[in-house]
This record gives sequence, structure tokens and C-alpha cells, in this order.
Amino acid sequence: MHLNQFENTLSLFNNFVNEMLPDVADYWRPELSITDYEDRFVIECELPGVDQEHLSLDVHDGILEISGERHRQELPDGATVRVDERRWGAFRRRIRLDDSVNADLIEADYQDGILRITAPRQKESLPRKIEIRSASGSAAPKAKVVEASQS
Amino acid sequence: MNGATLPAVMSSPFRIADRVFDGRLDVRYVGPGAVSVTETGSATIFEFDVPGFTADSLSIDVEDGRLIVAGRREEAEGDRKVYSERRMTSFRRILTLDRRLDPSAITADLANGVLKVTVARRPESERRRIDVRTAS
Repeated sequence: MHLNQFENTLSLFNNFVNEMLPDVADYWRPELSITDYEDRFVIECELPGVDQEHLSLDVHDGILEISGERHRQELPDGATVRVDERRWGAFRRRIRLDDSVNADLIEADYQDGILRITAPRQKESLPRKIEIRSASGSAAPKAKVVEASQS
Repeated sequence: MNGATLPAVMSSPFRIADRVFDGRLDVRYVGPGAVSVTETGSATIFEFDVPGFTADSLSIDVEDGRLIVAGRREEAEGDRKVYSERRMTSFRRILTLDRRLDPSAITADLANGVLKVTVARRPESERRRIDVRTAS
């Protein structure tokens, strides 16, 4: 691991999630997207034809790492590969998580060749409306006045 | 990405009609619809990467000796997407089938985002000798 990989941080949006550029060319990079649903981020990563036992997802030091290996099925005897555009071998993506993400509650599932990771935001970091209270605590009596004028 | 795959394509009997060569040697199709073609003794197997596509969203047609595979997938709510490298929501690949293949003997399976299309080879036609008649 090189120090400069930490300098190669690409800011995606408001520093909530940052993508780390790869430091090693021996990996292929599956494409991904990030969707913001306010209370959670959903990361979808395209990983067609990967066995689940060769797919791992780790969080360490605030970095979410998708890694694994895509193996080609063994060819039958006498078979020849004529064209190959698909990517094989080890893959890796690293995404830096901001403090707003609750790393303990990250969930993932793999379906139709898509690894879907749900990363909930910490409750404290959700946008919320803050009530403005007056110093005299006059909110309740005020409501009574409105009621009185209606009757 | 990997120039080494190009010679294999050039020497292949399977011409990928939609492949665009723009003069660069590292041109390679990337994204949904990327294919590998494997020949066995009895069939040719086309495997397409189609992550996020369901069986309903894929179509396979044979027309004039060409295999046409297309797909369209639904995208997550676009305005909520804050970052995306995922290339296309639809694709269309056209591959010329070798004449030794039987376009009426095609099967297709979808698993884990990989569409596997198997086209059987025609049974070897028997060699037949034709007598040359002479005008007597």
C-alpha cells in the first residue's frame, strides 16, 4: 500500500463519499453508481457472473472495499475462446465513507449480477427541523388564545 | 484496456458487426452486452454480461444469419443519483453467425447477470459424389 493512494482522493459530492483511485493496475474496476435517499446511500456495483464466495465487502478505517475475483468457468475439452470482451480476474473498488454513514449498519445483497450496498446515515446527520422555543415558554398560552377566539 | 484481445477478434469467424474500430489498438467494448464467444465441438456459446437486466428486459433475435441481442434496464431514480459510472441503460449487439451453425437450434439462460446463448452446430452434411453424365 502506498501513501500516494490516499492523496488520489476524488471528491464525489460534498465529501460524503469519496472514491479512492486504484494504486495497482492488476485489478479491474467494476462500474458503480451511488444514489442518495437522504436517510441512506445505495451503492450499486456491476459484477456479473461472480460467485458469492469470491466476493467480499469490508469496512476498515472508514473505507468500504469491494473486492474479489471473477473466475472463468472451465472450458470443456476441445473448446476454443474466439472472442473475449469480458473482464476476468481480481477486481477492487474502494470508497471512503464520511462520518455521516453508520458503518455498523451497512447491508449488502447480490442479485442479477449487481452488488447492492445500503449504507444508512447516522441519525444525527439527517436533516431535521429544529424547533425554536421562546425564552418565556409562552407557546402553550398562545394556543389557548387562538382557541378562545374561535368559539 | 487490453490490446491483446484484438488479434483473437480479427482471426475469428465471428464478426462483431457493431464493433467500432476507430484506429486505436486498445478499442474494446466495455459495458452491458460485452460478450465472449466459445466454440465447442457441437455448439457455439455466446456469453453476454448483462448486470441488472432481467429476462423480461432482454431480447434475442436471429435475422439474416445474424444474432441480435438487445436489452433495456430500469434506472434508479435519476435525480437521486449522485455519482454514476454505469454506462448504459440499453444496449444492442449484432453478431454474424457462422454458416455451420443452426439458427433454429438456440437456447438461452440468464443467471447472475450473465446471458448465455447456445447455438448448436448443424449436423455435418454427408459428402455426396455426383456422377458426370456424358452425352452419348
